[in-house]
Amino acid sequence: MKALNIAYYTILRNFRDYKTLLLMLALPIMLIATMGSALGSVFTPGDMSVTTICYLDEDKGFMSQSFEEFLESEEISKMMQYKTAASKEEAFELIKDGRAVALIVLPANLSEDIQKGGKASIEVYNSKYSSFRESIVQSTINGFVNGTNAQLVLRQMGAVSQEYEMFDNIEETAVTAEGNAPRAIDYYAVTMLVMTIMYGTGYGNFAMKEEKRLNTSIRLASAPVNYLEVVLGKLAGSVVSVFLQGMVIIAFTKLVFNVNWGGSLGLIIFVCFSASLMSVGLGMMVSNLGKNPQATGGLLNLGVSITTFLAGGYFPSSQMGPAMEKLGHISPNYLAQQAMFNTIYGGSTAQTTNLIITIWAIVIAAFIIAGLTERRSAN
Amino acid sequence: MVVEIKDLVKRYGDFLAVDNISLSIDDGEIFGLLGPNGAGKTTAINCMIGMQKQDKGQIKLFGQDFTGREGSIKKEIGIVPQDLALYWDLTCYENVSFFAKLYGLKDGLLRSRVQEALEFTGLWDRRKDLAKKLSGGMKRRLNIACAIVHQPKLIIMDEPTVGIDPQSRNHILQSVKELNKKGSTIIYTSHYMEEVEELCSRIAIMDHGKLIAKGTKEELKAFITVEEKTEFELSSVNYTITDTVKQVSGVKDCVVDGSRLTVISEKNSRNLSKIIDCISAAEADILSMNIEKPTLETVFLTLTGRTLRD
Ligand SMILES: Nc1ncnc2c1ncn2[C@@H]1O[C@H](COP(=O)(O)OP(=O)(O)OP(=O)(O)O)[C@@H](O)[C@H]1O
Ligand SMILES: [Mg+2]
Repeated sequence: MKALNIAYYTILRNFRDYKTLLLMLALPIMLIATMGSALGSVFTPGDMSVTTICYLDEDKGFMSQSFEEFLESEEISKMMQYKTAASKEEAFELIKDGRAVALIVLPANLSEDIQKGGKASIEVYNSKYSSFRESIVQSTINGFVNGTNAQLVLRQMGAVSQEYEMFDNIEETAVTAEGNAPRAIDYYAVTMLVMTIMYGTGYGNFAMKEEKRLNTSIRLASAPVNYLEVVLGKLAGSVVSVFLQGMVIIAFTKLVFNVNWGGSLGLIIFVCFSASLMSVGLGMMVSNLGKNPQATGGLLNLGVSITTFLAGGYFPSSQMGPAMEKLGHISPNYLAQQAMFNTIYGGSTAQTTNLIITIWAIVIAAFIIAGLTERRSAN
Repeated sequence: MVVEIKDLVKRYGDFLAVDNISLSIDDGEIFGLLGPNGAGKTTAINCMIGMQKQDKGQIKLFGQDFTGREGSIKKEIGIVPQDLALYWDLTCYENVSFFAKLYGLKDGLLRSRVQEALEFTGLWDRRKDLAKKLSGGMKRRLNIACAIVHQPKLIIMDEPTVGIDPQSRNHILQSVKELNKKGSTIIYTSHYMEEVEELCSRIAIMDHGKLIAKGTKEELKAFITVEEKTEFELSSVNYTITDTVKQVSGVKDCVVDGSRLTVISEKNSRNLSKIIDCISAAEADILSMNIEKPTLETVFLTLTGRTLRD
């Protein structure tokens, strides 16, 4: 109960601190708006065609024909280029070199299996670390598969002409794919949201040290409150403050910039919450490891700019070569960004789960270290 | 007995901040803890309320050992920290209310206690103002309101009047008396002798971590009634004056502070004219002269050879 009281007043004070609030809300929204339009060309469909995928056709049936048509359709070809590969080995080389982002394989007998109504699947191979671009590929393929599935159901029900259906289905998929193609503003809304959440390390950094600076730690220590309750209250207040700021950014960008946050808003919100915990936890940890909160605060701010940059927050790292892109994967921002991109653009669910689990592992580690290093002292 | 301290020792590294002090404070007292900067008053208080762990010694509050009963003992204590301890982005009402809730107050009782505390400190009209918008004196009063809202039996005030105007100061001194009348025991820390002299029934004087004297005002003054203090305001002071004055019969001590010369003599030494001779021999004019009755300031001066404030 007393922890809730502490949490509530912590939030109240964070939201009354207009200077910080302005920095936490207005700045990212401004960045989203300016980078979203100024750097817009980075993401125009024309430029997206730089994304190259490999395509290996072992099927050579009607499915390969329709898949090629799908890839060559106007909407898809704006986003992706494909190279036909002779073998998986060749394709993997290309992916390793960064000349292609994924390999799509239509396995042998695919068309036959589909016709028989058995289980059939298109294989997608990503590089070990998938990026924003790969979620686009994944989502495009998903679109195709979904369309095919729908069409198969129709066919099994003995519905209309096969040829016509197939065509219709591709059209439909293409429309979905286009709806999915992210604009620059969609990209920056995600990266800047994650950046804002990561700046929440500042709240973690100051949570306990601020009480010392204000001398209120004396009152807290002399009141009949458990120290653990105080820490939990400060922690909860900080996490909720960061999280609410994230929610404001999502709502604002959705309503004002019409940013695409995808269909699973619940999952996006959960990722936001997990990232808020991670950010505050990391902030508390660094704060406890250092002595001077001003110094650790500066360090954290610098750290967040670096992790944001590495994760491609200011400029898509996929444009900076595969080495930079891989380096970006060590950034905590990447975890949250990629989880959101996957969620919005229908990327791999397994990867999203892994990303979220990694975030929580960091949360737990940060809190354990912060707990072990928390010094209970008034001065 | 509200507070019982026995052989309290507190070190910061090698530095001895509190050096073996013992004292006890009775129910209903206003107890003065007096001492110059760095004497160890705040440190002693912090040990008292369990904020800092002492290196040695026992502390009993309300007849109980602190360990194990923290919760119930803390409920009965209100602390007015020496440095303002307020949330600047919260209103007066919110500040007091926040701390009241830490003591388990809620609903109707919470509201009436918060109102009482704000009215008592004269801040009810300013309850909706952010703490940072208050004047210095009001901040001091809010600092008190936050400490008394739960109506503690023991109120510890660590220099509650530092750096404020005489009006706010008077207000605070009156409040202290009133709180005491309502039944709270009060520990009052200060380096203003006049305040302690006006408020306190019993006094302890600290210097360099040691308790150098304790007792009632009368007891402390009796301690030095064997002495007389004379103060001269001089046009110029040179150190030959102190040397010659110290040789005058009956003079126990002679201290220079700026242009002021303070001479302490044994009672009835009748040496005033000789002292004046020394001063005129040094060719200094006497601008004013004051023969003082003993005050706590004299007590301190006698005990330490220094004034309380530099
Ligand atoms: N955390 C600390 N670490 C090291 N030394 C300290 C610490 N806190 C206080 N001291 C030292 O202990 C001594 C006593 O300090 P304390 O604050 O108790 O004095 P005080 O009597 O309250 O003085 P004041 O009237 O200035 O408030 C001082 O010399 C101070 O420098
Ligand atoms: Mg002090």
